[in-house]
Amino acid sequence: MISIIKDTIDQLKILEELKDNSSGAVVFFTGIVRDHNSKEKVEGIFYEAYEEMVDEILKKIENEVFKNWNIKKFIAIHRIGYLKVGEISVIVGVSSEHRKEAFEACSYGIDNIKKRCPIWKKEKMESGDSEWVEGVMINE
Amino acid sequence: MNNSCEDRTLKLKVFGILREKLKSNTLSIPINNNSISLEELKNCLKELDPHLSMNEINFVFAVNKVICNENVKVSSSDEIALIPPISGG
Repeated sequence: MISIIKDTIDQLKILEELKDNSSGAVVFFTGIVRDHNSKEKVEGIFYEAYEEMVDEILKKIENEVFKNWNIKKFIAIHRIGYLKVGEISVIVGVSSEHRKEAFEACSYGIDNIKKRCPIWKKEKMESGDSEWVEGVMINE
Repeated sequence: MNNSCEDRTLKLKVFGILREKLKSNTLSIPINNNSISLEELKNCLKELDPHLSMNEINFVFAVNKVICNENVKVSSSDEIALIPPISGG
């Protein structure tokens, strides 16, 4: 399952979806809104995406993961809209027979979401200021 | 004639910091020919708005949801987007 959503990400529900009697491992990466950046206190982050393109790139990443690792299930979900400190912005979950494949596939998944998906974030500071986070040029 | 003019307008999607600077999530760019290269389009955009100058905000083009180099030609039937530096996660 891969998608961009506006609702809260329910990690326990995703764990249930990843579980599989033939899998001995489930690995998650969970991205969470932090309460500070390098300069000041952060209140929340607004996320925006080119949703149709993100869907296509997530499908590619999913195919690559299944091609390169012997895993059972792969889930990647990114949330958009305004998120407060402590809320989950992105989750990548993998189940596999053994942990090594799950760790590697999960790491590949989140690294490639960050490098290849057209998603942008703007931090809202406690001071009232807001600022787009300086990003990286897309590498797709 | 009107239809012909409409057919020669490129519709661009704009995101993130560019959307905010331009105060719009779409741009309409009329073109004289059936197609133009992305390099020519970039020059048109720079004339249109100084925020689109390479010196101010860097961006690349996605055409039909694929990142393309500036030699690629586009027409009104293409889905074109301006992609500033990304920061998901």
